[in-house]
Amino acid sequence: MSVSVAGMLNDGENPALEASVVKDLGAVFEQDLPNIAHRLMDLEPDNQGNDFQKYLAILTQISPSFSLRGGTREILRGIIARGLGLR
Amino acid sequence: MTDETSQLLSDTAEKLFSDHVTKNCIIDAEKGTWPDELWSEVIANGLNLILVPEELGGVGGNWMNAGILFKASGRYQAPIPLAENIVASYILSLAGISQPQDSILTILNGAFVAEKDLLSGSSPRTPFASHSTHGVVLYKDGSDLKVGLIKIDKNDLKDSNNIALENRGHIELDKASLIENSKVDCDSNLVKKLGALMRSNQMAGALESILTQSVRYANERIQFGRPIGKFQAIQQDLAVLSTHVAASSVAADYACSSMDKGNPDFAIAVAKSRIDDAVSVGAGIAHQVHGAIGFTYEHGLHFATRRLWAWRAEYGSGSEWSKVLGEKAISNGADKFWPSITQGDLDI
Repeated sequence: MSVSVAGMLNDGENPALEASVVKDLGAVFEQDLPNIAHRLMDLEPDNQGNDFQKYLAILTQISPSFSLRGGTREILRGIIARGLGLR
Repeated sequence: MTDETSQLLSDTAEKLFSDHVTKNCIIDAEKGTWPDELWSEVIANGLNLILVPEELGGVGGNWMNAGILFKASGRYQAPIPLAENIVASYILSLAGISQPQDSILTILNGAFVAEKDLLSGSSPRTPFASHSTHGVVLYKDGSDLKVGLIKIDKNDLKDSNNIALENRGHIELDKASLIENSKVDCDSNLVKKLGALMRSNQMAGALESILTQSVRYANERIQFGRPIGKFQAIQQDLAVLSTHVAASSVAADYACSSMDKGNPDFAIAVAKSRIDDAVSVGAGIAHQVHGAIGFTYEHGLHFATRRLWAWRAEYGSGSEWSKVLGEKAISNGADKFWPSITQGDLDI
């Protein structure tokens, strides 16, 4: 999906709606990952721990930003709603 | 203790923490500075001895009282081991051991064995170990279960932190001397259960604080010509957060009252797993509502969210406690399932 957004840009089209769909799906998925990892593995996030713990520590702390950068979730969903003909 | 005493305790903790747990106090503690003034006030008010019987020099309170203090320390993100000291002094009191003068206690968590009163074993991720003078340990001596007290020796300690930058030390003991020890009649898994109980309560408190901060911010922050709290998308998110905060608070209270009734296993497992779920949803919403500002070190939101993420994994994750509940429910059989839920008794 990301590649096709890039393709649209390449062709000089405006993929605002399509990019919003990809970004929202991606952000929700990425933000779920540290929570899913926490549920699956009984390991503490730890900057000085093993690789899993280090990545868990970093991801847990930075993942809230995934739905803030490049348009917040609320703005993106507004764009998608407009695309659906709701606004 | 009466409800009046609970109110007094709540007022004392609120006053003490709102006066002393400033942003700078937490920032300094994250750099390793011990908040001496804050701790002195806690000790002066005897808050650490809430569960110790009066005949052993304590306050003689119950777990509902202790829960008030656990929650307040979580709500303010007080960078001190108050919860740990409450639990540690309680475990000592079970064995009739008095707490040494001016001591700061930590709780060793791991498998320990003793031979001729010399203790061996390791305790990873020991809370505030580097600031503590003494360690309380539950261990096996032959077929006996005992409570022991050791002096923390820096040579046995390797320092580390959790992601909230709270000290978590690895303690390795090889035939260390026990200052005091005594046989005790309690659950051999007591440390983990009480650990889960205190963290559940602290998380309930920290969740309250991220809700308060998020609602305040949503009312203050103007975007597109009005406070962002006027937008339905934000309102819906905050409403969801508030439901998780309510459930967490009830689950934490239930665990404390079940301790007072002497039948806490079901309630503690429920609290730790329920509140873990609340953290996953709630921390995300709080950050989302705050936008990029809540993501900076200068803004205080992360003091609460980093603690929530660290605490949900300590003393058993929600998944681990859910597994305990699930396995017990299955082994109890279908006929006992519904009664065990309505009576809050799985006998784990």
